[in-house]
Amino acid sequence: MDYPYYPGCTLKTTGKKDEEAALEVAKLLGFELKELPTWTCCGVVYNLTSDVMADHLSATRTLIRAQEMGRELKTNKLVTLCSMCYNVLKQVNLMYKDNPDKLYNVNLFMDTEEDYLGNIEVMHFLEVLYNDIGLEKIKDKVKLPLKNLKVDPYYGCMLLRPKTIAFDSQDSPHIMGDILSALGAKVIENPMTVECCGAHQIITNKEAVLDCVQRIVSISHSKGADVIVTPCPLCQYNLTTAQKSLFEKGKINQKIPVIYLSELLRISLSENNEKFLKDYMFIKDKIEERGGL
Amino acid sequence: MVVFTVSEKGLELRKTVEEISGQNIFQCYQCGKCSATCPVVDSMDVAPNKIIRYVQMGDLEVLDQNTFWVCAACFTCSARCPRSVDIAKIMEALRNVMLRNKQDFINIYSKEFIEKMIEEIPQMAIVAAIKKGVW
Ligand code: SF4
Ligand code: SF4
Repeated sequence: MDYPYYPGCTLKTTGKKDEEAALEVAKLLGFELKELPTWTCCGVVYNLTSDVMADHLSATRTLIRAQEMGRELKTNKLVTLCSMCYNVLKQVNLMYKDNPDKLYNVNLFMDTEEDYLGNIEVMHFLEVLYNDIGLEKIKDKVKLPLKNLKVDPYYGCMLLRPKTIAFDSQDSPHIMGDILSALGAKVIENPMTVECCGAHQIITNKEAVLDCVQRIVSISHSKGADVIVTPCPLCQYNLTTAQKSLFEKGKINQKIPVIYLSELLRISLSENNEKFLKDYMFIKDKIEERGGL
Repeated sequence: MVVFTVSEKGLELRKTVEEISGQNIFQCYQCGKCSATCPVVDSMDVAPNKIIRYVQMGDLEVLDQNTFWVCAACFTCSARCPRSVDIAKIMEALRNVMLRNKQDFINIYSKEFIEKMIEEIPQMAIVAAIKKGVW
């Protein structure tokens, strides 16, 4: 089955690697992520006030685009890769499901669009992999088992909070770890896995982000992780750049590479993975070093 | 019985915060769990539970604190509050009280902000910062 897919702005720029890898992983697993023909920014953060409507309009338009494309593809699902897009689209969607009067109002207001019916199911790529494809199928497709590679799956906050949108346990999630285990990797447990990386405070309050990241990576380091794996482009950026600053300041003495879940999946599932390993030779080295290949 | 007086403006602030956050501010019993769990509490002038106390007391000084601007809107406090207070929404309400009075926190035309933008910062961080700090 193919899915309507909403990329969001970051996956077309700084998060390109995530998108490229995910589109290919989908093909390797036998389905396609079909980009919505026109889309706008989702708004990035869900407006938490009870009296603002305008902030939800761009996400609503995207849900209407998904409804249109869903008719062709015969599905009511919409897939996202970015954690923040997932959070916003899912919260806006739920708001309409819980408040039919708000749905009625928005449809009146957007009179040039077709009505949104409130039936779209917003999903993150991780959910597609776990629920629709399944661990067995992923396991069957592995070409390079990541045997003995010690990975630290890092979720961040936007996939699991608030509770109404969470697709995994809020305090001890397992889905990403299960997928990585299916690839043969050794998954470590980091109690900081759902701790926020500091998010947009990287712009206005970099020190706060450094503190957050230091807490996350020091546990990852003490548990001997070879690599931190994340699905979120902002987590990937914050964890990488903050580690660099922390290292320069002498606050940590080792940097752990941070890679997208989709990239690691592509490395493990591709027939010809040499070109994808190029930037991450340590992965092959670690596997070989510990007698895995 | 403890008696304290609340100014007209203080009462008004409390009402506005309750209205736009949809939260009952007195549901909070000041256990401090939100502050213990907040990942950015070290950068805040006062901890999240104290912010709520200020609003309960109708103390206008709450608006001078940096706390709600530093809040990363990560929902951790809301997820863990034993009284089910959605603290993230209260932080948003306070940001909005300021922003709706045309008190922008970020000047998007400043050299500093523009310089940071071209440092290859992901778009999502830029848009999020603008949405939380500019009306
Ligand atoms: S965790 Fe909840 S009850 Fe406790 S201080 Fe914070 S808001 Fe109040
Ligand atoms: S939502 Fe804000 S106040 Fe609450 S834990 Fe996160 S950063 Fe702290």
